[in-house]
Amino acid sequence: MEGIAIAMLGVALAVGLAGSGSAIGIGIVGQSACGLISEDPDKFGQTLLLQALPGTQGIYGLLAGFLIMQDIGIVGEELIELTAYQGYAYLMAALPIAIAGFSSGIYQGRVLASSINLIAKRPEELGKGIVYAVMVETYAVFALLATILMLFGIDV
Amino acid sequence: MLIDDTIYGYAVARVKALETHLLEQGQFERMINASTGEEALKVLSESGYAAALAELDDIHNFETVLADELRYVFNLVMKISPLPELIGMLALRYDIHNLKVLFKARFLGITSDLLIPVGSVELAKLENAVTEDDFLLLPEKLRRAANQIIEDFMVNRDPQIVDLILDRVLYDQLIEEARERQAPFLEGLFVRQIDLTNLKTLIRVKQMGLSRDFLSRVLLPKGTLAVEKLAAMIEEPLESLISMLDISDYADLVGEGVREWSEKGSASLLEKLSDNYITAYLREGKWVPFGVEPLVGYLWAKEIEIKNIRIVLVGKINQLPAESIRERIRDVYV
Amino acid sequence: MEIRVNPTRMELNRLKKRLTMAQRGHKLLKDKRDELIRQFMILVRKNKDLREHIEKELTDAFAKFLLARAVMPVENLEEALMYPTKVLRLDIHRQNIMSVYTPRFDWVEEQSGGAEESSIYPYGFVDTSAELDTSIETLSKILPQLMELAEVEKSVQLMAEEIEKTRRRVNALEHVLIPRLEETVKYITMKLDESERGALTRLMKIKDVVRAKM
Repeated sequence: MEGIAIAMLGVALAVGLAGSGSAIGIGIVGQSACGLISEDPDKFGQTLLLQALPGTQGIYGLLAGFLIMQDIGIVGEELIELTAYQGYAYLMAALPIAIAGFSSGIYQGRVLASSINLIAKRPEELGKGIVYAVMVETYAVFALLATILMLFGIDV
Repeated sequence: MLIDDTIYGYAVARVKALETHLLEQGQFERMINASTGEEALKVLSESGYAAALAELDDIHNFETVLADELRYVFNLVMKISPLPELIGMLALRYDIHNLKVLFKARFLGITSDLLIPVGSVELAKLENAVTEDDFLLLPEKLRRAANQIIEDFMVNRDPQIVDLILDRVLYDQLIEEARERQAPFLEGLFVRQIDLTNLKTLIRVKQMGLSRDFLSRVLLPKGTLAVEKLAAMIEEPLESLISMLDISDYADLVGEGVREWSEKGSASLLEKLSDNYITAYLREGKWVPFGVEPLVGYLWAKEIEIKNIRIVLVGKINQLPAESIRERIRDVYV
Repeated sequence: MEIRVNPTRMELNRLKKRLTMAQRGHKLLKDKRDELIRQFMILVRKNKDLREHIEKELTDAFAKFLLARAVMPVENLEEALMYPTKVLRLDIHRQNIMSVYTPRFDWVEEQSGGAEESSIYPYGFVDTSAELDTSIETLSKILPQLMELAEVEKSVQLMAEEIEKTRRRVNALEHVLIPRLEETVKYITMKLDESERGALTRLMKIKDVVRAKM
């Protein structure tokens, strides 16, 4: 029965760490955005778009968490019996998105803060600022992919 | 000490937004091409200076507008900076200026209105300190300098000593503080300022015909160029100064500026190139997303902008030829 | 012109004395005027040269100062120049040119520094422009000439006044006093001659009458 607890640690890490990454990232962009808006309030729309970008890591984490919870029956009729081995397997599968979500969220936030500085001067270059941030996003997506593939590989 | 550098996010973004309001080279060009001082002022009032200029009744009082602007910008950057101590280091210059004024006023027995209300120590406290001979609130180095000034002045009554002692302690203090606060970018700035000042001092003292002994006392220590080497240059022709610095960072600046100085007797090019050199250095930190660099850069940019405006307006009001105005206009930061 | 004098011999003598005196005075004043004008011309020429020279230098110094002022914040500039190193002590003496008292300036520059290398520059080298040095240097160099100019200019002014006064006196003597005295002398002489002739005629007449009676 202890397998469930270990699997739930995986859920917690996936949702929690990736979510923290997003929160920190969004926070960083938010600070920069405030700096810009205090001088140039017309750019609110653009900064909001930029600020929202690091939110994806949290969503990926939540998605991975959901998949695990569905597998182990937390969301569903009844809990499934898991051995400790299976529990660890779920925990391991959760790690990629947890780790990459955390760090990519923060670094995406930093890139986006720079993008805010960029659009302060050249609002027309918003697209390029987003592209740079999306480059960071790639690795969150890879991590999510790895997590999902690993989950599919677990026999229950 | 590892600190979270993202605390600079707000300040840097705000400064980036402010940078867009800095005057561009083209605007200075238009001001230079204006036919009169009033016309030039009109060009200026199309920019961020509009509100302040609207209240200006006499063009000759434009200095107050510039001084107010500098004060405003300084206080703003100080306020938004997450580590105001670093920006405060840049304000030390104003403390030093105020001390100079206060000491000289005291020795002359007058009161002066030349004080600048920017600075890390409150003006009233400074005033009190100088009149009461009580410098406890100053950093230790400044305190020692203050006592030294009083002692020296009582004997020699030479006003130059006030400036010399305070200038030296200013850069001493700045370098030390930059090291203490681990701000290599600021330290780099101060070191460059010391070097450039020393180069200028060398040529100036040489032209005044004063002794090598005097020169080695007024050169600022802690630059990258050794004081003894520079002092020795006073006995050599300027050419050898140029060749001495041939492989240093200052090669271009010295090559052009000093040559012009020795040929035409005008320091304006060297002074302009020195300012441009500092601007170029600060530009390196312009795109740092989290850090004090863009803030320092912006303050300097504003200072240069105000200098340029002053050059154009003084030139225009006094009908100097456009060429002699143009050759003094500094590069802009943006 | 009406002359109201007593046509007496005593008056005549008095007037004659006055006339010679006036003529002598006139000659002296004329000489004085000529000499004054000569001196005046020398001074004026000197004044003109000095003035042209100084004006050129000053324009130059002001242009340089203007440029220094343009690149320095006004507070920095004024702080730099707030406490001068040199104090000028000025003594004014009187000097007599043709009885005109003109000023002569003697001045001593006192170094407030006292140390051997103290210079004319009362400021430090940080935050001050090198263009300030050159303008201070030029200004300090032309100070003695400026003092000389002030001296010469004032002398010229005083001399001009004196020349004007002397000329008016000469003219008054030449065109008013001397002619009038001469006329009066002439009148009295005529009057005296007239009465002398009258007396003679009377005498001769009496002689005739006396002779006829005898």
